[in-house]
Amino acid sequence: MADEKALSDTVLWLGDAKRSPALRKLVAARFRVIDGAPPPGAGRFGVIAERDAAAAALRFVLDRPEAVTAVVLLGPTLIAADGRAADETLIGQLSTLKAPLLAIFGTTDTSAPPEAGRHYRERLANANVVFVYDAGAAMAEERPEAVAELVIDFLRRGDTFLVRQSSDLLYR
Amino acid sequence: MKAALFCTSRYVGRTPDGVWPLPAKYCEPETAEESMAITLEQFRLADVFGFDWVTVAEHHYSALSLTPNPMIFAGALSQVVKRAKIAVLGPSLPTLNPVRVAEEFAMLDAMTGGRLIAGFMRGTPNEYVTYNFNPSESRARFAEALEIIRRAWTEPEPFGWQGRYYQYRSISIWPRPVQRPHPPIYMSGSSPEAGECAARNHIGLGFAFTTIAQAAKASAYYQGQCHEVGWEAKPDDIIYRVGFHVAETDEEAFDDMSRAPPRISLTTSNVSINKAMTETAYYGRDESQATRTATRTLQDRINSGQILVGSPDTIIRQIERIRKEIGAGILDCPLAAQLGDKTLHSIELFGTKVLPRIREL
Repeated sequence: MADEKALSDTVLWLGDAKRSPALRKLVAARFRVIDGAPPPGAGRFGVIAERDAAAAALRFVLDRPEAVTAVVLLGPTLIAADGRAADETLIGQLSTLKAPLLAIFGTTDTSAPPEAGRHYRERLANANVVFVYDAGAAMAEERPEAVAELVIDFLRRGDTFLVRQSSDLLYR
Repeated sequence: MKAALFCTSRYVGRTPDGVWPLPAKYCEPETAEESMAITLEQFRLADVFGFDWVTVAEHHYSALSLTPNPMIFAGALSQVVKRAKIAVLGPSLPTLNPVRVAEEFAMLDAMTGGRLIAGFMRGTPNEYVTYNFNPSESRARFAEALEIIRRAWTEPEPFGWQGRYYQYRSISIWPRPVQRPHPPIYMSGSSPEAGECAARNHIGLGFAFTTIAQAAKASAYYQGQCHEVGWEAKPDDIIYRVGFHVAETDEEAFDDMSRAPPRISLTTSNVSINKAMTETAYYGRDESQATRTATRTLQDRINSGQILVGSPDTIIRQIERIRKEIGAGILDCPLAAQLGDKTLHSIELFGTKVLPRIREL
């Protein structure tokens, strides 16, 4: 379980714990997964939040800037495709967010559409946006391996996930 | 109707026929240089004589085509062709890096002031040998690559891509295309799968080296699919690729063609590759495409709409049939490139005597 190179070995999963069992299983193979509030002595941790849980998760993160190593939002609904945010105050506060953030959108998702992604890039500090091809609102269940690879890499490495580390070598 | 001149940049020296891959030992560099210069001149004339588009395409390991990377040739054309649109019809998309294709096309659109036509092909069978891809995955790769390119052209902020066949952590291309939201997009294919893909993606469709009867059937299917998903295909959404040779009289045109050197076979002429491709379901639900390259007489090819040959009046009648039966608004015309000055005169006659009279079809 110990992953010396990871930013943290613990992930806080905020929102509906039963929503994405396939993704959760894959993430749990690499991280200690905690639901809800972190127990005393939990140390530093990454955060995953899905859909509508993103707002509460980000408020939580803003309250604990030193504890959070990376934030992953799956199909977040904080900002609409036209750029309008349900909570402008929260979005304004996020300009000071220190932890690296990854917002993931499914290309066929209509309630958290990929066209919203650009606004996360524009308005949130340290935001990365990735589209998961051919996946909708239930992307974590539709394409769990694809989402897990991305989520795990980001939680382990934060912003340095931009640089590929896996090998393309065919034969030695 | 509109018309495009399509040159494959055929090698003008002597080579064995019907061989693929053609051994590189037959390629004399000076002759290759001369061949490309001839093609550039043919395109320049097409621009002068009013063709709407000039077309380049991708093929590999063959004397039929010296443009394995058509974007490079299109870059040269951007400096020679001053008016016509430059149609890259196109890269074999499933075998290429789609971000690179998006970048190169955006460059071409910038270099031509927004005159790029973007065509994406699945490639002829041999292309899958060239870069060692499995053809059974070509449709899925094509669909994903197309979506990546469209997003690369339109997203204002960097984005990553977690696909089935492609993965990128950050895409943000420079330059962006001049045409907004992006250049016109076409794909090719006569199969039902191609018609469905084009309709679903709201893009144009081209039919190449087929017959009027087959293209009419595929065109009707495509138009029906467009209607199903909520839009109506217009004539400008439909391209029919058909070779041509125009002379002052029918007799002269036929005489020219009968004296032409033997036609170089298509690059798909390797029988074992075609057999293997059929086994991978490359041709989809319409396997008749796999066997349609049988040799026919010139008159048979004219009758079936595989080539336009004759005087301007005769050619116009043949084009009227294409417009009526297929609904195509754009003719993409490979020229009989091997006829020297007669080829150049054919370009002039098409531009001055045919084009003005098909505009209102």
